[in-house]
Amino acid sequence: MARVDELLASASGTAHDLDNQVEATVDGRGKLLRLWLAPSAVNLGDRLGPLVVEIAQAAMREATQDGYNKVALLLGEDMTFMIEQMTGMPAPARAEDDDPGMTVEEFQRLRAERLGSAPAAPSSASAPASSEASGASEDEDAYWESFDPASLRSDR
Amino acid sequence: MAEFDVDLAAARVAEQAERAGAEASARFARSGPVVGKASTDAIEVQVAPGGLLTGVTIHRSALRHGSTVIADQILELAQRATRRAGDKMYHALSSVVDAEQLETLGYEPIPDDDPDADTYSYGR
Repeated sequence: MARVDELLASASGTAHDLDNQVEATVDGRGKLLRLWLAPSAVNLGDRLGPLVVEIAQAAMREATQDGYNKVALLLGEDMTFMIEQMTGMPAPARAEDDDPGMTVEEFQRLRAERLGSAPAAPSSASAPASSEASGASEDEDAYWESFDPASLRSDR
Repeated sequence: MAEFDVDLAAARVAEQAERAGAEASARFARSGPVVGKASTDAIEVQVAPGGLLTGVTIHRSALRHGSTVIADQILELAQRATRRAGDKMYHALSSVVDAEQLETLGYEPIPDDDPDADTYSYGR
């Protein structure tokens, strides 16, 4: 349970308005950690204050979701759902009007579109795939044995 | 090892929470919702316990200082208001909930001589 507290405390969320004039980051309890205002934000006049509040509250929903996402990795979906029930604070992603993201089919269709005419059916060569795979993993081992991490340095 | 009974544990937590919740809500019914406030001459900030902003008022006179100064001031005021809300929650709940648990929730008392204390008036 202490670990759950720790995870929830480490959660944070960031949100900005559509015009990118206000950006706020809050922790899992809603405490403001960072606030950035674009120079043009002063032109909003009286509307600036309420906008900052609105963005902080949107960031709080992100932080709540971030907390539950972390807890779910530790305890699994069922326990996390139970915690949501006990706290009376359901994960924002469960909201009726939440963007459901994309379905698997949609993702695959978009991916196929993106790849265009690239070879689309590696599954058609399933028979020799096993031997290819072991060959590939040997190649990979050889690659990592000779890999020099220093080659990742940006000053070379 | 005894099997961990999730339902029993949940029921126990819920019962404890309900008992503490009933006492706490009786208290809050008397005191009204707990908020933390902090302000300068030109900016007022109000937060809920935990620190979530619930109100920010920026007077026109503050706008000429520029966005960076306003953002810094709101952040500073929000932190002070958060501590004040935590202090109020601590005093409202300390007889019902363990001090240690309150501190885990970020509700800590502010010493009287702390500049963030509501009652602090030294040098003002």
